[in-house]
Amino acid sequence: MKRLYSGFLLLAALCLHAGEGATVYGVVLDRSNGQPLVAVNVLFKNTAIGTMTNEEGCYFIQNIPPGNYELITSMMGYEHAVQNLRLLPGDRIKVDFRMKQTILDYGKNVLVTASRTQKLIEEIPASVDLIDEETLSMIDPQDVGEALKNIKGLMIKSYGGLGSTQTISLRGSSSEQVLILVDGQRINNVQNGQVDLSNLPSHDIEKIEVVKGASSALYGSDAVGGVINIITRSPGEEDRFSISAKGILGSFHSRSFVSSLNYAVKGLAVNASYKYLYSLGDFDYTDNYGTESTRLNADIASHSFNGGLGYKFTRSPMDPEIRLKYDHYSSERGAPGTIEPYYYEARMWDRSDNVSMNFNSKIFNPFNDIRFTTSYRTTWNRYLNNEMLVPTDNSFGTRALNSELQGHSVLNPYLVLTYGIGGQSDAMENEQLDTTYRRLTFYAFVMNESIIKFDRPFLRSLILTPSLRFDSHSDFNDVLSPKIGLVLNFGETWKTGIKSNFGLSYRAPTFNDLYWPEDAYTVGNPELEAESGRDWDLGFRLQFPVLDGMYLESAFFHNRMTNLIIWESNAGMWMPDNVDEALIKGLENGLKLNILEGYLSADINYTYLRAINLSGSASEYGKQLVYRPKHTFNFSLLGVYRMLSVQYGLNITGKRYTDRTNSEVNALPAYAVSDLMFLLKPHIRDLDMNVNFQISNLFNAHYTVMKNLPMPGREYRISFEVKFNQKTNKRRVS
Amino acid sequence: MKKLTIMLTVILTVVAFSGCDWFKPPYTPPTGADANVAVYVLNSAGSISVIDLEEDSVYNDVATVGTWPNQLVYRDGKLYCVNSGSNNITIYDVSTWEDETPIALGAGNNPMKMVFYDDNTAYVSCSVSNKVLKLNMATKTVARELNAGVGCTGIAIANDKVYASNTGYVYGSPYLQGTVSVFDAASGDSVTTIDVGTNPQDIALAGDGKLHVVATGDWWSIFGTVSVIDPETDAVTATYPIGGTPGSIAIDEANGVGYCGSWGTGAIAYDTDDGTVITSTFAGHGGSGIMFFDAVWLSDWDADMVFKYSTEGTAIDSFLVGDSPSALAFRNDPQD
Repeated sequence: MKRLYSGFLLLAALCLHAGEGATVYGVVLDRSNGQPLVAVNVLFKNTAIGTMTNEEGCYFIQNIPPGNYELITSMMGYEHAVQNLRLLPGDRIKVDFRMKQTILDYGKNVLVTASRTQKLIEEIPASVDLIDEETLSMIDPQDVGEALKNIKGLMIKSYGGLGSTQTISLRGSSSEQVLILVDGQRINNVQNGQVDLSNLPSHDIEKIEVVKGASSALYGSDAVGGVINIITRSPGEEDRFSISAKGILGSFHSRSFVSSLNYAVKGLAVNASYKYLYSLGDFDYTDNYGTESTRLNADIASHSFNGGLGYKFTRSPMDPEIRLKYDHYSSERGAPGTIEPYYYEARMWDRSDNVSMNFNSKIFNPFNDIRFTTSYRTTWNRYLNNEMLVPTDNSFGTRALNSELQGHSVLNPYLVLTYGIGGQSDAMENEQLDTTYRRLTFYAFVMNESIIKFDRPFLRSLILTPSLRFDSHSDFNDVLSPKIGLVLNFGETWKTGIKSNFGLSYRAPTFNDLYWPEDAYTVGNPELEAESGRDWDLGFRLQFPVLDGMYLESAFFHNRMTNLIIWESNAGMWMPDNVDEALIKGLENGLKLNILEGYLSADINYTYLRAINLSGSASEYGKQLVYRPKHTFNFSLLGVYRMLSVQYGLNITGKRYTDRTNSEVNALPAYAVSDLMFLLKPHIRDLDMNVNFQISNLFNAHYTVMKNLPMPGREYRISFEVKFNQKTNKRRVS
Repeated sequence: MKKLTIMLTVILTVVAFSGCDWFKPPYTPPTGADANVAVYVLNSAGSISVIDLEEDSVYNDVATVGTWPNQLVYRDGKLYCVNSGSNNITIYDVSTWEDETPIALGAGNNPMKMVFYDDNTAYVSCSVSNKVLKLNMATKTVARELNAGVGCTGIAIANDKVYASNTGYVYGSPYLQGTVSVFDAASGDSVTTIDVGTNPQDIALAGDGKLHVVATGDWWSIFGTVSVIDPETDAVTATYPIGGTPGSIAIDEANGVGYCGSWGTGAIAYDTDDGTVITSTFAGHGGSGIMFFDAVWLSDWDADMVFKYSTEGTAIDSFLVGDSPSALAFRNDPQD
């Protein structure tokens, strides 16, 4: 490396005589470890003169007109570095920089989902929300649905208490129009397009990224309302050994046990975790006629296991890394359905297994990354109900094999390309009908990111991100999904950003829509096309030094959806068709207040949503889509004192209609639910402990999220976790 | 300190506000929905609409019903709604639209239709339990459970006997023989069982006192029929092959015409005396519900409309009602 560096300097020196302007060159290093930094922007302030550092951290700029300058370096995750220069004709000046990491902000603000590569929130055109490990530790969710419930613009459709089905709506979309990823792999069920969030345990989650708005240009089908990427814990990079155990006890006879193990040394890392959950779910509720009842047949017992193995080739300059993961989940639960009709013996079984392999490496030079991922996922579901008009014992299995090759090349500040190709094979089997349905999808995508940095007091940077994806499907139409995003960043002390996006998105018809076997009343429609969305949004964020820090964010969104698939009756037969249209628009607002730095902070979110049906009969046209509240308000207040954290959360969800004509008699009233959480984090030598106590639905509100599906009243939960954590090697492997 | 005070004030306000009653405002039905001459519309999405025939106006959302509502019956100032999913019958005062305590029929019954025998006795057909329930309307309780056939659906009373049609629907198998179970209306004792067409769904009483049982058939392989039962002998006196897939029936006694609702295509009109099909596309649309009340009334599920047709098939009027209308009933108590 030293030889290369010397050669580079010699080459630079030889070139110095070439121009009449000045020449500036040097090396940019990490202040903490002295390592050269690659792809750092080096720019003369208020000019368009600049370059990026090479694989040795070196830069070289020539033909600079004489004058006084500020030379600035900038890179994601590092603080800017500035050097004042006075350049005369023919000057040859060496300026080295040592940049300081912004470690604390780095982890919190870096997201991967919105652009498929690591980006700071301020560089992402899309509206994004992040649930980080700290938040997860505080709210201690049992499943992903609980973790997501306070995100603005997002509604969790809960069908009851712990273990009940939970689906999602994002910016007024249907649950089939939200793409759910686990570590970047899609998990939407090809049978019905949905994901039951209660089947996604939360113990292995590192963070959850929520990207709102059309994202088909990067992720293909189902990313109409947005994308939710659940990022699980990877085998650690640092040489550590840790083992933990956690027990949870809660109301309605719920209990849970979680254990995990992590071991990493010399580039090799393994991790494993296991969770058992049981809940009887026997909460009291009041039925539609005022009678006090107990929710029966609402129990759940589930097991989940996650294991990972990673290896980092520490001696290779290309930094290659390989990771293998295996996830298993199985559950049995009661399926009481609504309180009218009530099923006392219906049962449901779910099982899913997922194996994935991920390989990352630099290629050719440090400006090019490749990533190859392949995953194989199987799911199986059985629903047994002998209390229905049509007794049902249905089992469905799905298989999905996905392989993708993604590249990322930094050519210059205006040409930062992310591109890739991939294929997915989906299959669904119905054991009763002895039938298998298949879908093959091939796709290619490309996204460019042009970053123009002005570093002027008013306008700091402009980022333009056009992207395009083509999807070819074996059983419905091919789709081209373009999108363009724009970010403008202003100001230094009062940081302001404007974000805007325009894109097309689509949702794939499900296997139920296409292939529902013909019976006396229903039949699928193999001629269906994809649902389409035309989406744009415009938002701003403002960060200003009021109190101990205040962050205001607002976004207007507008999505016109066409070709929506609706099951209609035709001479007595129910059949899906692409007939409906809808217009969804709204305003998301968020305010974060740092009232007393390190002690007291508050989050306030409000979302206004107008989701209008543009089809159907005269009494349906122009009405609010069902289960879309016009108003949603979230408030949380977090207090921290030494080892103790206390959080109060309030969620107010407005009235929702349950039929297409918006009849008031069937509307579900608004509800307000408060939660109170305590987290104590004592630490003794190598032992970390977490004691978490929660009271959900503090004021014992009686409410339903979905019609005839009561939610539990006041609920208590206490958990205790102990974690042994020790370094396995004093010298960090890099 | 000031910041903390402000924050605490905000929090306490929000918390207090979260406990307010305005989150659950009491529903007030629209005023004026107390017509004496009216058509009541059952909307499958769970509401009732009132078409006021005296004022020629429509009132939607006058009441909420149970889950999977199937049928409306009007009697003496009250409207009864049979709810399959809720396994109950909800009751409304049509002057005030206040609801009474529903009649609980018990889980697993799946009630389909009801018929009154007298002020204190009604019968309900149940398609999952394959029973007919005899109700004591004074106490609002189930007085007796009667064993009917598989998929008991339609129900009518004639000659002091209860007639309940059994569709014979068994999931995954061809339809069983369609039958009508006959019970003594006073006692509830079983009288006999009569074979009719495939998949009998509904029963109506014709002007000559005979019962017309409409059988939908097996959709695309067996087509619709009407079996005529003489309540005197409990024998099928005629079977009319009217075709199509009819699911409900209404009879114009004065003109001797039967109208069988056929989902999506309106109705099949036939001569009740000899079974001659007058038209198989009466109205040409709607047909989720059908009723005869001075004219032919049809509900259109997709259009959320109720249409009034003359017996000649001419559209007289139309009304925009609630979401997915599926059944109709009428009140005819004109005030002097």
